[in-house]
Amino acid sequence: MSQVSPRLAITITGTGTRFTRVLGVLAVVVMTWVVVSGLFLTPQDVVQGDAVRIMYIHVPSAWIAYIAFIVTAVASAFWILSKRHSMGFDRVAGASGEVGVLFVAITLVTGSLWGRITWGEFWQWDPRLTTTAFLFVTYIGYLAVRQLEGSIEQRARRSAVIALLAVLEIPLVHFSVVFWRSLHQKATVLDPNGDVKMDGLMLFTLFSGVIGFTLVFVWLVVHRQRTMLLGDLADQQGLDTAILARQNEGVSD
Amino acid sequence: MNKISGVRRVVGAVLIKDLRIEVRSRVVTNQVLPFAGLIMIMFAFALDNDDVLQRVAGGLIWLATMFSLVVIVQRSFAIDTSDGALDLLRVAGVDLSAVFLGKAIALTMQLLVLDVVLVAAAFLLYQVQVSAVGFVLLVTCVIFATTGLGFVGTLYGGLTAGAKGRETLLPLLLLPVMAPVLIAATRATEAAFGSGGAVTSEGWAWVGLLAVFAAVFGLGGTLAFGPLIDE
Amino acid sequence: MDNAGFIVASYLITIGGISLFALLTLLRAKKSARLVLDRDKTWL
Repeated sequence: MSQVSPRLAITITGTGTRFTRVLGVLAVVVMTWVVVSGLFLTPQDVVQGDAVRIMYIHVPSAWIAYIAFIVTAVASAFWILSKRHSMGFDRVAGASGEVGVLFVAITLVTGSLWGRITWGEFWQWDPRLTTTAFLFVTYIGYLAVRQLEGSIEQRARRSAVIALLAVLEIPLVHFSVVFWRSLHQKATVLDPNGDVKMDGLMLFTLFSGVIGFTLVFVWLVVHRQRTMLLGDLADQQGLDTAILARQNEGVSD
Repeated sequence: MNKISGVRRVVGAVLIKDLRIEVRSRVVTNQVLPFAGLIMIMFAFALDNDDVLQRVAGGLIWLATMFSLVVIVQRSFAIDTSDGALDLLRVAGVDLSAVFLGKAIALTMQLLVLDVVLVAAAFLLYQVQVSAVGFVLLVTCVIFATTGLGFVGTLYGGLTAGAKGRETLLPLLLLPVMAPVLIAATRATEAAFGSGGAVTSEGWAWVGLLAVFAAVFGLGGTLAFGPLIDE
Repeated sequence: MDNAGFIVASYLITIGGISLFALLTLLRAKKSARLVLDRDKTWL
């Protein structure tokens, strides 16, 4: 993305490139199709009626949320294992974590709206829902750790360890919640994704949703990752300028 | 000096240092124990029903333990970072895994004392009852749960040590991680108390989960603690 | 459409949430981009 700054009259280059622009246009086109088809073109479900329309955005966003956290964990592992501790891995991990939190939030909100229609309640203490909620708070903690003050290396090291510990934590949480629900209340929660007989267009729309959300995810991570580098460099430059100013003060005295 | 005995010496030294600080300052005895007791009394005010209290006693014990744990961990690392003790250990080339184990054992021992008091409070204030078999289950559950909590508390305490804003960050990080312990220890304790018609034998599976948790975070912490505070 | 309110709300929240995040990221990029030399922008 290039624009001309009115004051300085020089071109400022942002985080956009030809690749992200093409990606962005594709993402907008596919997402527009998903919204139009999901809301208007696809038929009602036999069991769920119109409620099934939420599926076309809920399922892909849940899918992307999980993908995002896997990317965070893998990038963190690469950062730790790579000899040069390349900061690119840390930025991808952080950007993917942020986008993941956004998509888990969307998943939880759309899921509870769907639940309100099918179950009559916004929330059920179902293992999958509960684990997703824990995923949400865990990665909010991860993002908070990234905000801690310190050098870029400290941020990378701390957050990489947290991301890998989350890989230990989430299965334990999931298992204990499954175990808890199975021992006590026997009530089985209606699976909103089950009981849906999908025709060709419904399947295609869901599939387009997955593609569209994936494009959006890549676009967001690429831009966020570059923005993070800009922010780090800007901070660094601010520090350099301050040090230089202080040194000049010393000289003039 | 071979490696094993060196590790053992560091673990012992750190453990004794942490316990000695406690014995001299008496912060856990004079402040955290009363705080935990106060939580138990406040729960009684809030719930205001003997049957309900008896039913939820197990959960209240573990919630009070976890809130107190956050306070203990914060203090323990505040002492270590305020006079640069952690940095000195690092400069001295001490094996940080051994430091982790020493601090985790010290924390577990303090939590054990805390839980003895909390269980006693539950007997006195909430009128819970326990059979002989239930008592064995309760003791096993407390041992495994406090071990697991000692490991995660030390691990995340080390992460936030010395960082600004750690007071608010530590609970945010710790509480979700401790959720499996809260679920498992509460169910095992309820089985021991027979709350809500729970059978004692149901509790042992939960103790197994607590053991898995302690093993996973014991291993994870031993590996991760060094990189975390090595800056 | 039955339950149109819930269904439309879930679409609005999804699209709105993503757009807001994208917008904030771009604004932030624009702000920091002024302070950074083009030769440091590794993607160019």
